[in-house]
Amino acid sequence: MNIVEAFARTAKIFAEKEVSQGKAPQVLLAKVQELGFFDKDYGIWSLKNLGETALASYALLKELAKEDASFALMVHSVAINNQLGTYVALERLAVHLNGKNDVINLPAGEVLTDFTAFELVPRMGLKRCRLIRIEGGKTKEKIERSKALLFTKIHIAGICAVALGSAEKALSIAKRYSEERYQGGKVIKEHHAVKILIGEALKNIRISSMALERALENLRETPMTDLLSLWEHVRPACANTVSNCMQVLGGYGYMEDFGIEERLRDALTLRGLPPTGKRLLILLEEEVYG
Amino acid sequence: MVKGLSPQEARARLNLIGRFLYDARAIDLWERDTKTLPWIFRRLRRKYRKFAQETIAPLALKSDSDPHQIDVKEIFLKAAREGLETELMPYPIGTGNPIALAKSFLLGPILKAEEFCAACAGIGLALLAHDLGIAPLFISGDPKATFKWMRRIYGEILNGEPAIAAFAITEPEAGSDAEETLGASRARVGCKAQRVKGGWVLNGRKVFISNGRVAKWITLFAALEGEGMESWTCFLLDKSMKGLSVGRSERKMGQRAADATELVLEDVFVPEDRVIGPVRGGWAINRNVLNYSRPVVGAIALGIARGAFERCLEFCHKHRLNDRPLVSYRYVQLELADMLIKIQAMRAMVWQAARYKIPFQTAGSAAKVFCSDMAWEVCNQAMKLMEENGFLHCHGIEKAARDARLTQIYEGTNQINRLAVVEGQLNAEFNIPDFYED
Repeated sequence: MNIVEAFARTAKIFAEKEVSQGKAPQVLLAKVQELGFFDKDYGIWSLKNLGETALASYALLKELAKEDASFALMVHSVAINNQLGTYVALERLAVHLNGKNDVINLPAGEVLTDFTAFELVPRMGLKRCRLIRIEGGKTKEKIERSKALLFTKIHIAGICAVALGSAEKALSIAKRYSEERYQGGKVIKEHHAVKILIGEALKNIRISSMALERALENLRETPMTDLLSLWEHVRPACANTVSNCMQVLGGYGYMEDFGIEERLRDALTLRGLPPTGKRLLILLEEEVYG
Repeated sequence: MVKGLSPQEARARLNLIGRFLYDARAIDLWERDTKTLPWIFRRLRRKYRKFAQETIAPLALKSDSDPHQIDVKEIFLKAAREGLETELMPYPIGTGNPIALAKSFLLGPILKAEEFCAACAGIGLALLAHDLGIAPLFISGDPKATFKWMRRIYGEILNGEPAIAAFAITEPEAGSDAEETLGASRARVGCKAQRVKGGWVLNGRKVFISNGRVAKWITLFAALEGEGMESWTCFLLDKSMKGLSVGRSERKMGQRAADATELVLEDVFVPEDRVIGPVRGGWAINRNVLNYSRPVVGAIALGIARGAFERCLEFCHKHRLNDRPLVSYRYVQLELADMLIKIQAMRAMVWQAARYKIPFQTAGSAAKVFCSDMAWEVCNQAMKLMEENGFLHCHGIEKAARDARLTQIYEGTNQINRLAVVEGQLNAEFNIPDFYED
């Protein structure tokens, strides 16, 4: 078993046994620590052997996100903190466990201190993690540009992995439901409308996974334009996937019971993390022209 | 820089006739569109907007975060005092304007739905679902239903009683099946009616019933014992009936002010005079109610999208990026323009549906599908434009997105409604001989 399979399998067992039980995040984070996933040399997003650990970290975050996207995002944030010594923010937005410690604002690479942290509440989704906006603050120092860019890529890849994991779980819920629910005298998976919805969801997930895995194989060398493109593609694709899955479940999907509506709220919140939309496309264009 | 080139300045150089033919006035689209309506509808549209802004909008965010703190009956009574809950019939039964009803039966409800739902789709739905509950009474064409029951229900409302109505078709095992021909032919019918002396005994369950918790009156459809949906019969129930109880209210993603509730029927005796329309006439009544209600769902979606657009535009004026108001960025203007174009197209679609004297399946389903899909897109555009502010509750955009998502599901999913478009034009255009042989 290689490291990617080991991470994925352990994370899957942990997610299904522990995360799905809705335990307190601090308890779960301590268990992740016990499992060694926060190890600086061999843990999530370890720089020592980034080629393998990047794919392993991606697989792990996806498994955790299948049960709880908020928790997966926390694990991602803490893992980066372990590697860098501080939390990171992208465009002054961070998943920060206490809202007080220093933050590296990406992609500028400034280490910010004495800032005011505004918790973004109440919000649509990702309700179990602490999402803050940093305002003001002093620049203590700057980290190397290459390091700042690498961690921008890691940050983007991790959030995309969380979005994908959550969407994959939504698809598995929709598939199961479509095999059990009868309408028009047959299980709904036999209806063309449902086949199209699930087919499109699957297409979104496959394209996003393939592209993300390709980028992660050699993250150091993957151009920033690729990561920004993934950032713009994967999150809306995942949101569309979850939306399709909700449509498969119809009225039941819109209710809290089946867990699809929460995944849709999470997906839309992930999609809203800046930069996004047309502004991101402009950034992308500027990146292309240097 | 553009001196003399802007439309207003360029127009000023023309002579009187040229200026008359060149409309470059700074009038917002709401006003422009309102001016295209016959005067009676203009007045109605302004009235609906006033009520929505004064009564519904201030409660919108609270009704979403804490729906149990909102007294739907109180809002209903406020609307009723303005004559807004008894509009489907003119005096002496209701408060509908006879000229307006004669000109277009649907335009009034469509205008109302847009205005109410631009303020809050949850409260809007609670108020509009009452009309849906009443609709079978006159759509049945049954004089008894109109002159006895509608008169009674409207009379109660006009006397200050919150006599809210609900429309109950969905069953646990029959969601889409209750809204489509082929599905209905093979549906597992759960709600049954058995003939007894002096009336009927009803058993079964209905789910996701809008206003199910607060309604006093319910138009409910049940199949005759041992038969399928072709035997559906419409019954008028009231909550005081023995054996009729309210089950769980669903926890919904959006439109939370309007409850979606389970109704449980255990040996409910319904007297003969509560049968609406003919026995076995329920399926036709149900289908036709959907023809009337789907354009209104299109208008609900339109209202949600317009509300999201207006809030987003306001945000773009107030919010600054690099010391410039967001709205001054060209990419933001492009996105806002795209949203406005969609909203205009939605309005054109639902107003067109209202122009047909008698609503029909294709127009209703097409308006419903198009507007609900567009509303979802507009809300998503607004969310993306506002970045992290888009998912914050305080701005009302994420609420609009959650509210919009339901319009793609209820009154038949959009997939079912696309089939309804084909079926609606089956013999006129599609000519598919084996359409019913799936």
